[in-house]
This record gives sequence, structure tokens and C-alpha cells, in this order.
Amino acid sequence: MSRESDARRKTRIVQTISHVCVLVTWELVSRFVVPPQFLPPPSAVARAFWTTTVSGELPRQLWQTGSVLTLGFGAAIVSGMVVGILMGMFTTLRRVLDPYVSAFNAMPTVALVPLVIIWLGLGFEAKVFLTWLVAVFPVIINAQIGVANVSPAFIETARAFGCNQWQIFRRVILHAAVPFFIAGIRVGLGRALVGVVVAEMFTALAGLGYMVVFYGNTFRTAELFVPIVVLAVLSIAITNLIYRLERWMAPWRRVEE
Amino acid sequence: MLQVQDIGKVFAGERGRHDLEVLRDVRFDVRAGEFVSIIGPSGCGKTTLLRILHGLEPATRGTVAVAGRVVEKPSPSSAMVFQQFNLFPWLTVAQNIAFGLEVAGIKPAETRDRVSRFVHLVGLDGFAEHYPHELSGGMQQRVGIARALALDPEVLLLDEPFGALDAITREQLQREISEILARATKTVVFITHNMDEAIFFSDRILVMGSRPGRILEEVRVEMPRPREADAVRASRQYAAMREHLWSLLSQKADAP
Repeated sequence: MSRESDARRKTRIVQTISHVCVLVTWELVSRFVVPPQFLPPPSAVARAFWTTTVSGELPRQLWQTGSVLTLGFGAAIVSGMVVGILMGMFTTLRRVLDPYVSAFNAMPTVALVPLVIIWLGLGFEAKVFLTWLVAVFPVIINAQIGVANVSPAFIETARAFGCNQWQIFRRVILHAAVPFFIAGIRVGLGRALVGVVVAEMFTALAGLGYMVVFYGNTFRTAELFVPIVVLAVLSIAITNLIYRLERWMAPWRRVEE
Repeated sequence: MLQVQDIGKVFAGERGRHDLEVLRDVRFDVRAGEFVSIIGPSGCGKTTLLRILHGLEPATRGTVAVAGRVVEKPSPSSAMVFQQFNLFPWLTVAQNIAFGLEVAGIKPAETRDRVSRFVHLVGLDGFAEHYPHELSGGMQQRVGIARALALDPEVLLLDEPFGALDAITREQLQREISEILARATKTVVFITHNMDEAIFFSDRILVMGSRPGRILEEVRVEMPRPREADAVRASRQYAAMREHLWSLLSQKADAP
């Protein structure tokens, strides 16, 4: 026990030192080697972070991006799970929908951005729709694979204990497929984040993507780094949340990994 | 208690293949409280027969009846223990044991009561909240046995329950199971390809041959109970019986 926490403390110390080294090197490089317009020093990024926060710009844009992401990705999880589970359960439905799902999953859906703008305009709805569109297909595909490939031994056992079709679905299939549901959500999240930023860059009215475009176009690289860092932190935080969700929903998987 | 009448099973051939006759004219009765083993070479249809007895698979011909009622689909009047344990990994030991009870519509209070009783019976006190992957193979199979016994079935169907265990665990679990069954006095049908197991446990052994699967001979085991594994092995009867079973099984395995 103490040896384990010892190892963990050592890891933390090493990582802290390496983070400090990276930041110091970056600071020195951008002060003395490359011009700050190309690569702003971390101190300038921190200052920009402070000013954009105080001015209210960063919280406002973060809220924008956050609400688009929550609605779009949330809708992708719910609708993707429902469609994926139905496709996994009903072979005919799978045969009908599979070509479309595979095609949409394989194509770069950002190519549809102009079409979506024609349909829904440049506003909130278009951004939510785009986020949903890029994130939903991995959720569908993983849910479908998880449901369709539950070990026959589990189904046989459930039948042996008297389960009817609904009980097999409710008590066995939904549980056995949880790891696949989580995997789909994890892949979908990565896509959703890209989707939000791309949507905001094109519609260019609000959000972190807008900050990226605006500060990029005006060569204010220190401010440009603020939304980039925030997006990275956001992504890490949500990934962590999904990890916790899996631990909570599937505690039985802990040791297998 | 269990009546098996002229069971035949044919798997229909697909895509131009011939039909496969798996079982032919299988017929036997098991009295209440009797322990009957079905022994036979791999692929002789033992497991298919057990699945038919439980109602998991329809027979092409013939009927199975438990306590006078014809078996059409799985019901709590019989319960199965699987070779590969088949525990649900997302349920704890207690939840696995409760699974069949909940499906059978038994009240929560009664279920809790039975779960703790059977956790104790199979010697898993303190492991009720563990997940299957935290248990050894032998412990997992104890859960499998508790899960079946908790239903209080009239007939217990065991499909090579020790087949996936190492030799030492197998011996220990055999001893414990025989003690549990001696107390519970269940009607048991036990599938195995291990002659020692069959002799140690059974009142009667049905020897099966393959292609098509059918019963070749019925062997009675007239040894007093409770049986002690070492004493059984040392007895003269045991040697004679083992030789007899071996001649039946090997002769049929050689046939084309």
C-alpha cells in the first residue's frame, strides 16, 4: 500500500519537474529565439487569460461553446444510443440503416457545414446540429456492436433462468454492452469538440472557435492561445468525467484492464 | 420425478448439407432424490440432451416431464449449472444468486433471505459483494451452484460442472458438493466425461454412444453413502466398474 503511494508520489514529482522545465524552456525560447507573434511566452498567455477573463469575454464565449457542446453532444449520446441499440436488436433495421450510418461515419462531415448553414443559418441551432452530426455516428456504431455481440453464453444463461426477450434485453444485453456504450461516447466526444470549434469558426459569431478565428486573424497570438488552452483543458476534463462514469456504471471492469 | 420419453433430435441441414441426427430414442426415468450421471464421449449429444431436459432446446421427437408436467420452456422446476460457470460479470455474487429468483418473481425479502442462506451454504461468507472476476474458478462455480440451488428446483442439471477446474480445486469442490447434495437430497442429472466423477456421485450411470447419441447401457452404482473419494477409489467394485465403463466408452469411440 505505502509502496504504491510512494510510486505515485514519485510520478507526481517527476511530472511536476518536467512541466516546469517545459514552461521555462518555452518562455526562454519565445523571449530570445522566435518572435512572440509566432509563439507567445507562457507569461503573456497567462496575462491574456487574465485580461480576457476580467473583461468577461472568456466566460461568455466559454458559456456559448459549453451550451452548444452540451446540447449537441447530449443529443448525440441520447439519439445515438437509441438508434444503435435498436439496430443491434433488430437485424432488419440494421440491414436498412447500416449503409447510411457507415457512409456518414466515414465521410468528413465538416464538408456539410455550408449546407447546414443554408438550412439553419449561422445561429445557435446550426452549431448544435453540426455538433450532433459529427458526434452521433460513433455512438450509434459502438452501441450497435455492443448490443449485437453480447456473448451467447450470457443469453443462454438468462434463458435458462427463465428470462423472456424483454428481460434478456433489460437484465443482460444493456449491462453487457456498457463498455461499448462508453467507448462510443468517448470517440463521439473527440468528434463533438472538433465539431463545435469548426462550427464556430464558420459561423463566426460567438464561442471559443470565434476567439480562435478573431485573434488568429488579428495576429494576437497570446490571446489566441487562451481558447486553445481552454479547449484542451475542457477536453481533458470531460474525458476524465467519462472515465468516472465508466467506473460508476461498470465497476466490474476495473480489474480486467 | 423426471421422465424422458423417446427423445430424438435432428438438426436440419442447411445449404445442401445432410440433416444431422444428434439423439435417437433416449428414454429414462429419474426417481426423486436420485443422482444419475450421463457419461459419453465428446460430441455424443450429452449437452444437447441436457438442454432439451431443461427446455432450452425443443426435441424433434418425444417428451420430457418434470414431476408430471411436460417441459416446454425453462422453468424454476429445474435449474442448470454450466461448465464455464456463466456468471454475469456485472453482478456481484449476491446479485448473481438473486438473478433467477428475481426473474421467477420471488419477493425481495424472501430473495434476500435465500441469497444469504446459499452464500453461506457454498462457503462464500464475506464474498457476497465481490464481483466474479475477483474470485477463483472454484469459487465462481460455487456461485453457479448456489444460483441453481437457490431456486429450490425439483431437478438439478449439471453440465460438466467441474470440467473447467484444475485437479485440486476439482477434488475439493466435488467433496463439498457431495456433502451439500447429501443434505439437500435433490434429484440430479449430471453430465460428465469423467468416469471417476460419475462413479463417485451416482446412483446410476447412463452410458451414451455417439452418432446418433443414444443410451448404450445403464450401470448401477451400489456403493453405500456417504462416499469417501479415497475409499471409493480403493474398493474392488470401483476397479471393476471403471473397467466396464471404459470398455463401453472406448469401443464406441473406435466405431466409424
